[in-house]
Amino acid sequence: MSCLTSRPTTVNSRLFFSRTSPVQGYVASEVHSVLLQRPQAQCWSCRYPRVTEALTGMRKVSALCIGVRQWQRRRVHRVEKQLAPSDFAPKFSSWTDSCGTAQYRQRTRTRQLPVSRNRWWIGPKPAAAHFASRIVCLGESSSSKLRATRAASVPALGPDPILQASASEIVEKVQTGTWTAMQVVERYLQRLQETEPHIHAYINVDEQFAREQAALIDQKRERGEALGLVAGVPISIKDNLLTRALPTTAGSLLLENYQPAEDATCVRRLREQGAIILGKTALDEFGMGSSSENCAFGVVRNPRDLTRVPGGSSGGSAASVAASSALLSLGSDTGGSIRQPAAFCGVVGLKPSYGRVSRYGLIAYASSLDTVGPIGRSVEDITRCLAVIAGPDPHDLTTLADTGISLDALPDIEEALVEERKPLANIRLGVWTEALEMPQLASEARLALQEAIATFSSLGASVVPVSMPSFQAACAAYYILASSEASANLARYDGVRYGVRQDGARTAAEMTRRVRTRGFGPEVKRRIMLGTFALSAGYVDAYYRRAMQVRRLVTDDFWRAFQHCDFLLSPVSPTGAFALGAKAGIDLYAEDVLTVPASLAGLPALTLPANPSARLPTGMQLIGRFGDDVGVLRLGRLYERVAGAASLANAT
Amino acid sequence: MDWISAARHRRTGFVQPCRALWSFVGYRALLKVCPNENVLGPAAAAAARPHSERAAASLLASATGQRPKSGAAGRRRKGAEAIDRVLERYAATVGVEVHVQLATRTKAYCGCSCEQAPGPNTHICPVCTGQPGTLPALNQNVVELAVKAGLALHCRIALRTKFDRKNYFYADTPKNYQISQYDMPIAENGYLELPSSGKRVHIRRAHMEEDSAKMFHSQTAEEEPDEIPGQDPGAHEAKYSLIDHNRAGVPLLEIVTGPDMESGAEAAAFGEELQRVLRYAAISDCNMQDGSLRVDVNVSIRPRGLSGVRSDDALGTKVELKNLNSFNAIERAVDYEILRQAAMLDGNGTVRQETRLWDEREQATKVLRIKEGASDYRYFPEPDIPPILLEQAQVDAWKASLPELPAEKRLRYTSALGLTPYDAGVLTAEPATAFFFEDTVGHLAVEGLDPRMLIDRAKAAANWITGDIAALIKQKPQARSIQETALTPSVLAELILLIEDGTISGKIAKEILPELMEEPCSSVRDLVEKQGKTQIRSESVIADLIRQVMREHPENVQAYRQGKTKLAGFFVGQVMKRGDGRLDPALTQRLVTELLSRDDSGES
Ligand SMILES: [Zn+2]
Repeated sequence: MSCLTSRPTTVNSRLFFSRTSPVQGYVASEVHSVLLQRPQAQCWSCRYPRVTEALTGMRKVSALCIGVRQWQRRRVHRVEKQLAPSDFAPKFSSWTDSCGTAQYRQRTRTRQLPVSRNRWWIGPKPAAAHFASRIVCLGESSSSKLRATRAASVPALGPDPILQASASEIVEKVQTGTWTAMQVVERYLQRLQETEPHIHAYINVDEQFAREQAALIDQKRERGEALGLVAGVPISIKDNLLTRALPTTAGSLLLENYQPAEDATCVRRLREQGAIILGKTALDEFGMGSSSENCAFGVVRNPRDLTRVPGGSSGGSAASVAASSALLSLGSDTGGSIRQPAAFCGVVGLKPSYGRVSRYGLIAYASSLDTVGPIGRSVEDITRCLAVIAGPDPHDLTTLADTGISLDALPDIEEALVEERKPLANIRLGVWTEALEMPQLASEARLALQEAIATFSSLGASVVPVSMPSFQAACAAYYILASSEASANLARYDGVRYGVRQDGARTAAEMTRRVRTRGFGPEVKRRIMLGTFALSAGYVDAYYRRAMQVRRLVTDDFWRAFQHCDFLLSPVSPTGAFALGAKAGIDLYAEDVLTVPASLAGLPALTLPANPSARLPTGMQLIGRFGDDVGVLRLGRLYERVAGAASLANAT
Repeated sequence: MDWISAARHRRTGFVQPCRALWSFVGYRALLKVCPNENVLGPAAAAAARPHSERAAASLLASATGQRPKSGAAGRRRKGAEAIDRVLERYAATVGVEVHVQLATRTKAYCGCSCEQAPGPNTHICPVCTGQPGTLPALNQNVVELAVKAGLALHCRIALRTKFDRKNYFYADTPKNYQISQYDMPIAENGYLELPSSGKRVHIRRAHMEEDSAKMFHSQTAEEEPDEIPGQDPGAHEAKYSLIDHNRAGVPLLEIVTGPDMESGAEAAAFGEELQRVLRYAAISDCNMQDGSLRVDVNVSIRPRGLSGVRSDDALGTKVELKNLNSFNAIERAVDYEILRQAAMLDGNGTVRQETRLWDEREQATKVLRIKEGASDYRYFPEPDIPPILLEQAQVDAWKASLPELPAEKRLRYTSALGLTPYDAGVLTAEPATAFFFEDTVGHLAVEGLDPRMLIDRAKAAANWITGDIAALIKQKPQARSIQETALTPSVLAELILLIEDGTISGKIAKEILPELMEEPCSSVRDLVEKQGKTQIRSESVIADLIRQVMREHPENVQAYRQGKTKLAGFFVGQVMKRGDGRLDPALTQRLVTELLSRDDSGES
């Protein structure tokens, strides 16, 4: 027997008879399937063996991941089929007709919400591919069907002054009265209606609310008052950030009708500075996923290629920006959830330093890793957004004391470009060798990154190869830590105070069990069970504590790396945007292998396209020292200017 | 009160009705585990109770047939001989786990008030009801009070400490985890000295945590739900339950002692002394009735002479006692438990590791649940609250700000003021009394005073406070402490000085005391002069009175002069009577003997 199954009977009796039952709320078969795994002899993360004791111990952690993979492959279908007929069928019956998710949402929402709000729900005419995506949502990964379906592409965007304007242009034109905020919002809402049937980036859009916000800004301007830093900028918000005006679901059935009492700090700050919220974007349930396929309300598509995933979990946010149905978006990044979708959709995303932006109002997944950050079309735009949302917050004790960023952060870049031939002369750019040499990395992606490195080099940066061998173990450690914290963070969804309550339970525990069994999707359950297990007595040393040690090693690795360089460059994802339904379980976990290290160390990391003009651009990740958000933004802005100019030159 | 509609009340609109149709599967599971045990009711319990337990109950019934009304720890209870006999054969080990509500204005992690709420779910917010996306913001006062408590208990304060999550599913825990402290408590390794014996009880640790919500279980849908303490098993048949989140997130300090006590009386004495210390330092109200002081006790016994080694294993099987709502209950519950366990061991039975509830009505402990090993709370560091780093200077400042604690006060009263240990104990029992006493002594201690004189005055003040004043307070149900009467320390001091310099007699002082306690008085001298109660010290006035008496009782004068000198007392008594108790007793005494001895028959 393996380490996982050494004490199955004891564990089980404790699970089911103790008041403090670790996995209260799940059916027995699911628990069994987690505990009765026999990990394979070959270890997933031991191709880079290290002598360090902690890393040797990570064999166990990765064995656990293999356990999950086995479970994924062999059992998940059976478990979910058990659940599907009784639990999912009545609710999802309308999915069998051609008007899938949209109708389902329409039905439930109109029942729940006051008519006067005039909430607008998306997708009157879903494409054929919807059917397949629903299947993915239920966990049956019949990817062959998916690949067979071919949807129309997102309507092309002709020359359009409003939709193509940057945030600063919009703010300036709204301030001077060239455009009214209402004009801007109407144009974006129109665009949103065109694109949404194809990509489904939004869970919830409130047109009337958007117009009300625009009207307020226009009135303010008429009164001659000064407008905010993002006045009139249409933004979308990931649906795990609380908004008082719109329900917040975190992509979960359990919170389907949840109406927050207050705005998240970052949302409040954006609204105070005049941003206009268009709606809430789709995500993997509670941010758990790397493809945006785990959302209870449908699957998001990549605007660049509708057969591909937009990445996740902030897939809706990245897709809305890429499809120009929002100028900016707020996402959250726990292990790559901003960077990876931004890379897949060819937009720019920043995971700020941990604590740079308040997490108050972010529905917690893994509290010690969660960050809120902006996704936008350009580094300039997201810098503006970050300047608004960053800063200390008395509600979040983990925020950094200094704001760390202001709008002055960027202009000197332009000056430097004009004045100096080699503006990066003092910069040492570390290139993460293991990441660039990953066999999965496609050759054109590697080429694009090498060209980017050459560009930096031509701007005067010295390029330093850097080895970070702990990153494979980092991924396993990340899943242990994130799941452990998630198992506690998600314990509050018991149906007692809020959430969709299931009828017919005779006891509190039974009610909680029903609420959680039906409310949570399979991936969420999997991670709660994984985390519960990793924290259980007798296993906590082998898993949770070991993973904490690896986290320290990763941080040390970065510290050492930053002795030799100022920034680190790496790809964002080994493979780039993959086809819908192509990956599940551990393959999907492996998607995060390059983004997770910066999360574990809390470092700022910027994602931007290395080759913006490509149909599916390759994402490039720039990691900076802790707190140096401005540094990565400057470097990114410089690259954006140079590469943008180059691609313009190529086009002409 | 209409709990149902009250619980539905939504102050800020985010709390869904806290109403659920449920009962408790946890208790059902328990029924499965131990079908014989008492979770159903007294009758079933009596039938199911093992023989030895019944024996213990009858034994205790004889032992505690007459119970003193006030919980008098340290004093001997009637019939405590049964315990003594058992304790000759068995050594009892008692450890205490205390939860104290820290006296902060707001809750531990949000800005909600900790005060008594006007109705259910009124002092709540998104944070303390565990809404998604909310984060705890630690109340600095919680740390300050916890450190002060640690200092008052002579603990080592951890300059680096952190919070942990304690995970367990229960409907009264909004987040389904409690923010607590696990392996780095804020205070460790201290002691508390018991006043009566001077014994030091080891304090293992004290850590900060948060309270949970309060649950109300209804028996039927129509009926108003009864309030049931959190530990009560009666919930298993409830039709629905209501949750009041006013208490959720209120800061608590958990204090754990070593297994150092040996009887119920000691456990109660520990509780009383702890209450005193925490009240002095203004760390907590420590009201057992309001639940701001909750004491759980662990009791085990072992045959004497068996174990020389004091390891935890050798101490016997531990039974945890809950629902102890007074010090009196602590004492009786522990004694009951010692007797019960002794009876079990005498009957060659074994004591099970379990949690028992004290039933005040039946004066017995009853099984709540059997412990199957340690619970797995899956502790891990709380990621939302960064580790707390305290500076030594800050801790020193807090230490300096601590007032003098009861033990130090008692020492000072006995050594510097010459009081008896009993008086010192009574005076320091309540902070209000001690402060009153010290203020009085402050008024009495004028510069250049002979220290022996001060001791006399302090003794006088102590006698007044513990004697007549305490008796008068007891008669008045509306005034619970000396501070709630009109009497002020300066007035008492003046009274004592007036007696000392002979302006009034002790008798007069006793007479006017009730008046002084009823109505504020600016000057006692004015009062007694206005009422004509000052002492008469004029020799001529007293001599006149003596002569008057001598004239009326010539036969006694005769007898005295013939040698019956004992009759002097008669004359003094008669004279004092005529003087309305205002005559200076010493002067009267002297004049009586003087006049009786002098042959002044010629005058008459
Ligand atoms: Zn609160």
